[in-house]
Amino acid sequence: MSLRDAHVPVERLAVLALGPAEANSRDDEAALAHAAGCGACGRELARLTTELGTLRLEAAREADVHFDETALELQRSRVLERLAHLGHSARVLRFPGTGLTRAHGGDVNRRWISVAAAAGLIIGILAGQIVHIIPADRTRRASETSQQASARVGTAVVNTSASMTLSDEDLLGEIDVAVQGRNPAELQALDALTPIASEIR
Amino acid sequence: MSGRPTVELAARTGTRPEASPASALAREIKDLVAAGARDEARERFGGLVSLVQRRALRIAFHYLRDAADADEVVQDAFVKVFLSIERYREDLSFDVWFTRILVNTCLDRLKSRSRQQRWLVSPSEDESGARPLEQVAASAESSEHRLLARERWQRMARAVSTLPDRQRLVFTLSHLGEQSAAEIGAATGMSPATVRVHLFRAMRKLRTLLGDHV
Repeated sequence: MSLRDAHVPVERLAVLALGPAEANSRDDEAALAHAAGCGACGRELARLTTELGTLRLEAAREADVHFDETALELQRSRVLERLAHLGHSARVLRFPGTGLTRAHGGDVNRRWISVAAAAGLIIGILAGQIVHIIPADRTRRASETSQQASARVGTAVVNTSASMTLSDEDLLGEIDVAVQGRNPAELQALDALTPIASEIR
Repeated sequence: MSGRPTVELAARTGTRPEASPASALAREIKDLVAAGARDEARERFGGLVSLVQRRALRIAFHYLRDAADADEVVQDAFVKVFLSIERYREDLSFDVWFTRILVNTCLDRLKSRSRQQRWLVSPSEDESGARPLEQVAASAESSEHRLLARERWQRMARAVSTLPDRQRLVFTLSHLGEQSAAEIGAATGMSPATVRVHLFRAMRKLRTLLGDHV
């Protein structure tokens, strides 16, 4: 459809009224030339330009209500404050009573403690796995102390599945021991590495 | 026939000064940072913030429809600008470069907001999409004309909020940012032709609110 023969679509007029026309846009130049010579398109372009300008003012007012001069100044201050803190490491808040220094050595100690704790956990888990494959009679003889409570649980499971001769009373007894056991082997290694607050202070 | 629209558009199609005040100041700050004078660069940066913050807040507010988010996003954008000022290309208008950073920061905020809305109960919103406490209070002293204009804008804002993201972004930058298709394209990564297509489609959807007298 040639712009010379028909009115400019209102959408195109609205786009022209909305923002700066492209300096090298032939379509815009053609549309403007048409609007300059066509009464209807010219009036519509003028109306749209006025309307969009009014709406732009209202949009600006709506936003400016939330951001008066005080808010703008506060924002500037915050931006500059954030920039002033760039490049400075964050202030480290020491955990109370750890006794760890902020020197590099303290960081290294924390790192090694973490590694040791992880190793202890892995060893404990492996130990627990090994207990499950030890023959039932050997684990029953070694199950007198609380440190081997989890082994008894493993024993009960092994015994139950292997021999099916454990009485209900014995099984309940094994369960009681396992529940009362507060320090399964898997966690004791980790517990031994965990510093106690009362000892550090 | 009124010559007003022709005059206005002719003025708007004229070439702009190569170095806007913001662009010139950005260059100075870039040179100061490169020379190691960061403290002085920061001081000058406060002036740059003053030049562009209001426009940035208007764009961010209307795109995000939340004053607190707009404030934070604009702050974040300014911090990003300073951190990357040495990468500022002097052949590019500062407004365009800053708009690009602002737009990306707005988009990040929208993504964050959508993630939060999946898990948190959103505060109740009115039809305009703004939180009730942040609505503009009607002034008893407004003239009828102002009141009608404000109502028309609120209807327009609601309609704009329903546009697809790209159309909404392009419309906001064009209407509030008063940027050309080329500038919007440079800020958003779209070609000017694509920008115009989005603008055209946006105006088609909004045309009923603008009236159609042709």
